[in-house]
Amino acid sequence: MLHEPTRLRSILLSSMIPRLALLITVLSITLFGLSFHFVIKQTDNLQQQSVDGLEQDINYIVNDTTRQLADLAANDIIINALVDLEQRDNYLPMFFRSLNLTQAESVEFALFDFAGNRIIDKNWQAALPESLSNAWRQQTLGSSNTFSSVSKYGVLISVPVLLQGVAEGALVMYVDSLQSLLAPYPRLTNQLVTDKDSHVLFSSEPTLIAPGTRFSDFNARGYAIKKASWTNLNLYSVKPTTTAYREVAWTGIVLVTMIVGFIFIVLHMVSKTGALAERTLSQLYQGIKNTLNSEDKKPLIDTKQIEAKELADIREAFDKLIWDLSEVSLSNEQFSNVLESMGDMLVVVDQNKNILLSNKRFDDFCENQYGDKKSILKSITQKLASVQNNELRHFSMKEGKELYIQWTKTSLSDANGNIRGDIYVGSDETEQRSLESHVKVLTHAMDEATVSIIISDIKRIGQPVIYVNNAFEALTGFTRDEIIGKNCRVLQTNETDSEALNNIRHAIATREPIETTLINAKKDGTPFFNRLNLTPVKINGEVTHYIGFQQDVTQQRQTETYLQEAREKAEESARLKSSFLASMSHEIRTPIHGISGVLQLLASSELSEEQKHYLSLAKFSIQGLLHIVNDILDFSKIEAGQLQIEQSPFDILDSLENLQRQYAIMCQEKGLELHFHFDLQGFHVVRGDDVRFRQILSNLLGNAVKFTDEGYIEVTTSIKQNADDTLTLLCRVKDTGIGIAQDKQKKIFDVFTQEDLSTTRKFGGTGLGLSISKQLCELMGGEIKLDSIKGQGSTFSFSVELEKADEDLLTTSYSTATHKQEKGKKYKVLIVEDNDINQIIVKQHLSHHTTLSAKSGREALDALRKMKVTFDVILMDCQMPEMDGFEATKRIREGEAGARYADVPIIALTANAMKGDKERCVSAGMDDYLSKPFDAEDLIEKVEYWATVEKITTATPLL
Amino acid sequence: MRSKLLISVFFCLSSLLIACRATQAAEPLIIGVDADLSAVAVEGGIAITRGVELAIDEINASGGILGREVRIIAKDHRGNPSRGVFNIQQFSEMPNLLAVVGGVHTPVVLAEIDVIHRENILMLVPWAAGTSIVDNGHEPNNVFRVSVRDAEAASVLIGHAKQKGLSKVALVLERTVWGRSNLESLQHAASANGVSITSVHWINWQQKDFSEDITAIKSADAEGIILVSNVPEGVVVVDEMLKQNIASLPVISHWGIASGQFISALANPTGDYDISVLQTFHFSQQKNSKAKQLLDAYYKKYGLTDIHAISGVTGLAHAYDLIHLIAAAADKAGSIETDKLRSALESLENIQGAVKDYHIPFTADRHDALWSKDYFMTEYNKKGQLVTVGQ
Repeated sequence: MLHEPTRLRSILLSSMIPRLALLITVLSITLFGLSFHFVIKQTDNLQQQSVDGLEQDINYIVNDTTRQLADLAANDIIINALVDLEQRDNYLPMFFRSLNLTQAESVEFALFDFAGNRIIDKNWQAALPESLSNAWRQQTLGSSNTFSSVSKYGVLISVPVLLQGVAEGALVMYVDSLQSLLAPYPRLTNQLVTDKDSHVLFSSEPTLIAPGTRFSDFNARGYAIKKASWTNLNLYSVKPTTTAYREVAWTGIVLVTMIVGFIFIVLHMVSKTGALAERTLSQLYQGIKNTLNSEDKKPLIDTKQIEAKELADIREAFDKLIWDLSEVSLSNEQFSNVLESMGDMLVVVDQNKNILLSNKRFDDFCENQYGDKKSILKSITQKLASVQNNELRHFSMKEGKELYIQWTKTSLSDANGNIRGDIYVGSDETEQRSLESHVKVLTHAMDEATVSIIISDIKRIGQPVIYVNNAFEALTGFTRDEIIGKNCRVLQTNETDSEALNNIRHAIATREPIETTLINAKKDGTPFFNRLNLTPVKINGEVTHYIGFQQDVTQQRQTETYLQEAREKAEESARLKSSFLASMSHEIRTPIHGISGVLQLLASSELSEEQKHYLSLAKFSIQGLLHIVNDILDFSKIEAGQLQIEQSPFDILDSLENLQRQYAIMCQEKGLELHFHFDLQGFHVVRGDDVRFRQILSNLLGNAVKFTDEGYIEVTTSIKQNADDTLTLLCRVKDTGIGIAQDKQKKIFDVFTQEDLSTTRKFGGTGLGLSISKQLCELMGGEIKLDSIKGQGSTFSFSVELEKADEDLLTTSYSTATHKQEKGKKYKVLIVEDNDINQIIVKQHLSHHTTLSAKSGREALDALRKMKVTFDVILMDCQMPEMDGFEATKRIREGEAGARYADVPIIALTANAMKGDKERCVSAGMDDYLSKPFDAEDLIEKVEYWATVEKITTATPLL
Repeated sequence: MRSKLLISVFFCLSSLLIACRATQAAEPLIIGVDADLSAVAVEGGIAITRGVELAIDEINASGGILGREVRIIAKDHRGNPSRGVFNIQQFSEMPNLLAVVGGVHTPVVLAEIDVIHRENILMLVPWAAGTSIVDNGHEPNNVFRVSVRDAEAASVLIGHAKQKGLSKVALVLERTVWGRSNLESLQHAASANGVSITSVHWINWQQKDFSEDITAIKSADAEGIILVSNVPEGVVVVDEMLKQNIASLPVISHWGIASGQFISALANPTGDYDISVLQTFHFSQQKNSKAKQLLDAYYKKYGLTDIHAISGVTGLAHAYDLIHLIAAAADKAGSIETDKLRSALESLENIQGAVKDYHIPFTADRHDALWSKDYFMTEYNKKGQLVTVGQ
């Protein structure tokens, strides 16, 4: 600012002002002319708009009112009023009072009937001339059309009230003058409506032109008038011309103000621009000067001051230039540092092979060779000229080994492209060479390995195979060329187990090793079982490859599958056999039950002694047959895993004494002695399966009696308390019978085995008894053993696990019900049984009572519902066609047979063949059960007991 | 419809003129028909006109009344009471008028009662059922009716509802004097029969929206609707029922909806409706000789058609019987003076009509010829024709 402080600004001002003045003059004249033109045009437009607006308003008033009136006329209250002469006075006046269609106050409405007589009105004071009165009647009542009229008589609109398209009346609206209808609308100019005779019907400025006067009498001088016509009316817009010119004058004042303002702004801007340029240029000058003097790299900028971008760019360019200059001196030092730090040797020579530059590596190399640089370089250049490749072998004196150096020669050229010498760069390849040979050895080893090896690069897209060995080719039939670069997925087939594949994918995704076996296909499509071992290869802590070892285990697999199938078949056939036996036994039991029942019935009839004898023989045979069937059933249950061991308290002493009583008679008959020895340690009541225990012991006792002709039988029973508080029962049955040969003893517990065929012939029996006993012992946590000498007798000893039980736990029969049995009373019993014979037997057994039978659960339900008598007890067979006993019981308990039977005693008749029968009886809601075949006494006792029981609600079933 | 009517009227008049010239020179007697021939119950109006025409044809063929030929002059009141009054005024100025036969609409006939008595002309009513048409308080009473009487109709309608097992019904009545006349009698009959009325709904003539009322009927759990209206309003009611999914709710209708093509006017004419309509006459119900004679004459004059397709058949039969009754009365009185004709009508005995055998058609105190035992219920078949219940 010190240098010529006013020069730049004064140049700008002196050159700008004259031009600016000329421009402004031309501009203002043009603007003024244009605005005058537009103001005049604007006035004309305004007039036109005003007239258009007026036309719209009238149109709107007439059309919209007509439409509203027509809507009203279609209102069913109006229509109904024409018909309902009697009561319309109740609702029509109210409806009419609420009518209001326009903003005008003096609106008159009336409803006329078909003859033109007024029915009802609102403010109706219309004094219409005859012509108008006839006109609307003719149009609306005569021709069923709407009618509207705007005239000096006012505005009248009539619409027909239609019934099936013909006017039955008319709704008429009348306003005495157009003035009142149009008055509320805002006006752009003064507006007039006249009829064709120039009568003023409406004037927006009544002080200027009064309604009712004639417009033709109006002095129009000094007014611009725009005219339009609408039906029989003329519409005018009247605007004083003086107002138009006043607007032009206003425009002129605004323009002059704007121009003056414009000049001031321009002058101000010029002066400001000059000042800004001056300041920036002088700052730039100062900045350069400071930088050069103080070498302070930061340019002096007062950033707070405003600066033009172009000027700022210039200064930045200057700053950069200064910066670059200071940088060049640094790069020379850096260059030599770079050369020294290079891993390779570098030597630069001129055209005369004089060394211009060499780095430390090269110097070290020369020292290693014990030679001076120049001679070594010379030998290198000579060697390079003589060999094809650029690799030279040098012997390292210090390390005593050969070095492999790869030499590269580049020409040294100056900036003009002239060759000034050569640059030699030598890199040490020794380590790489030794690695290469190492890799070769490994590769050969892998190639020749007998296990198929495959390597995939999992970092590349598609995880392609990068290596396979010869064994892989031999195994899969794919050659290296065919497989490398592809994904090993080509080995997969449709049969490949998707789970195995998922496991592999998962392992690869988590970078884990995996060993799995899956079906793959060879190149020719042959599937094979591939035992695949995948191992991840980690490089720098990251898994990059997977190595797979493959082994064809097809043969092994096939063998395994074959064995598996064979085992399943064997198990299946065993199962089939058991279930066949179980169902057969069950089927056989039913007829046995029949026979047994019939025999019981026979026994109670009058018989001769001989007949009684025959009957006892038959009964004996049935017992034997039943015994065999039960054995088979037990056996097949055990085989099928359906046999359940009970865990309930029982009195073991009681059981043993019972058995003693039972077998004492048999022994007496055969002339044998029977001794029972107990050592129960005070555990009379124990928890276990009483029935099965007795079955085992009774089997052994039975055998002993059967196979002993003279001597004695001794039963020793002892109970031992174990450390875990359980009990072990040891039982030994010793006889002095025929004994069993040593070599047969092992097989004696097998199924269908007796000592030999002659024994079978002599003594009979199924050979199942011991086998069952053995299985039962094992099921009860014990074992059975035999100690025997042929001809001297046998000793069978067995053990079973028991638990301690409290004497109080013994369920005394029927303890949960109050019981008032009356002998000889007749009860009503419903027998539900599908088997005719069984039905007859039960009926006969219960001949002292009243019985009724049903053949299925369905029939039973029907009978219970329909019969008037109330049954005391229901005997329910479990297996029945149509509806079985379980379902029927459930339904009775749910009250389907009526509320009176919801708690009726139900006794199940079960064949007791299948596991879970008992549980099903309980859950179905049965109270007790009888296992077929049953004795008449048992049946009668149970029926009579339950018939008299008054069940208490909490009674637990006795099953 | 109107042109067809005009042609038939023209045909009738020309044939009468020919007959006139052939028998005698005396001026023909006039029977006026004042009915809706172009608006809301056109079928009813035409049926009435045809019944009159057929009876007049028979009378003229057997020598006319008192030896004078009978002519029919039909005027259209379009269901508008004001027009009806205007028509009656015009008829009263005709010197040879025997009687005027009224139309379907009770409001119209009721509006005419005063002028009828003022001008002392006879009004024969073959359709309009309003109780107060006959019980009009005038003494002597110039109105005779062969048609349904609302007070009686109510007991039949309510009885039918009860028979259908309905215990709660809603009433839908047109907002006219006819609707009001039925309200009273229906309320009376309902309480007498132990049927409760859940709500009463009024419908204006030409009303287009009945949705709120149907919603109310639904929410009141009405088991059926008793409908007293003409065709247009009946259609609005049943269409709204369909829209609100209660189309199958039983509708027990007074016979107003039988005065036009009801089913075909519905939005869905094939809907599953349960609509029964009160009737007094049906060619499949009345099988007497007079009915057969009427049917033959109808076939002969208007062409063969299905007996179910004759719409407004009750109007046809009633008008037919009324003309024969007035003819018999004129013969008995030997005069066409209103007072003598009235006395003769009140003392007629044993006249066989198409509707029934009139033992004593009218008495001085009883100007209704049909009573509830003469009514029966009909239903619409799939073609939209009325058939007797159970057919």
